[in-house]
Amino acid sequence: MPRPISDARLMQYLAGELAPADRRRVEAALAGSPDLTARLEKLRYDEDTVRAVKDSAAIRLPETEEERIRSQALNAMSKRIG
Amino acid sequence: MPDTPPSLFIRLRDAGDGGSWREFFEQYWRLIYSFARQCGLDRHDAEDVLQEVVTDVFKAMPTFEYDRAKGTFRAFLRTVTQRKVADHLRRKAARPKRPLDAAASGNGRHALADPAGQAAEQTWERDWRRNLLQVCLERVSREVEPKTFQAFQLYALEGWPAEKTARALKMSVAAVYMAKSRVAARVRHWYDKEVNAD
Repeated sequence: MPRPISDARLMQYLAGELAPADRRRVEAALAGSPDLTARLEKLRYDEDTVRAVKDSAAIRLPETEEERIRSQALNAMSKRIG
Repeated sequence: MPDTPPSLFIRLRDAGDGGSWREFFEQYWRLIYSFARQCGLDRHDAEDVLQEVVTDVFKAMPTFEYDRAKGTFRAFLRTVTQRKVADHLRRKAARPKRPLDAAASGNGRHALADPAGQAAEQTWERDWRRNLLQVCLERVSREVEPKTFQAFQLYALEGWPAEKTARALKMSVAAVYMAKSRVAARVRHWYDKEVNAD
């Protein structure tokens, strides 16, 4: 009986990090298993989230600048609002 | 089923809750500041806009009626921010140029021509999503094990190989993969929750 395919192995598959033989083994397993395909889709969704998180970093400023703006605004607003 | 206003809304409406404006500030300051800068305000004016928007929203909250049919909180905050930015742009246009304006103005990109125009609206929507993802990421960084989050940062965000990440953090390669999946799923959980609440 073939070994079950772990999520870690599926993530390697998605990342293109598997050797050709391992890749073929995963693809063969996927072809015969809706459950495994569903797990792969969930992990693919994780990949989409990671890409979105990477893109979202564009809204950040350098850390020292962020801290300066944040602390100045917090100080000023503590006086305004209390 | 009636729409449920975001829980932060409820806390903001309680003017006696001293912590709520800070929570609001922490959640939205980057979005407001970034938008003001992209509209062409220098950093001093953008900081003023940030403080004015947070103060105005906080003060408006006790009488603010949440009605999703009339618009989302996202749209409400955009309107308040656009007005403040437009005020500052008008004042900036009217005053003599200061010697340091050239160094402090803009953000290295072309400023949006009209803070209430279509391009500005698209920028706001894009940056709303970006800001929310960053807020959710910060939230997840506090709820998972530090090592799990570090593995996510190094492997998923910084692009370290899984083996190198595993060695650096003294964990298995499988655990690195799982850290990536776990953090991504938690970020998505919070993101979806916030989007649905708006």
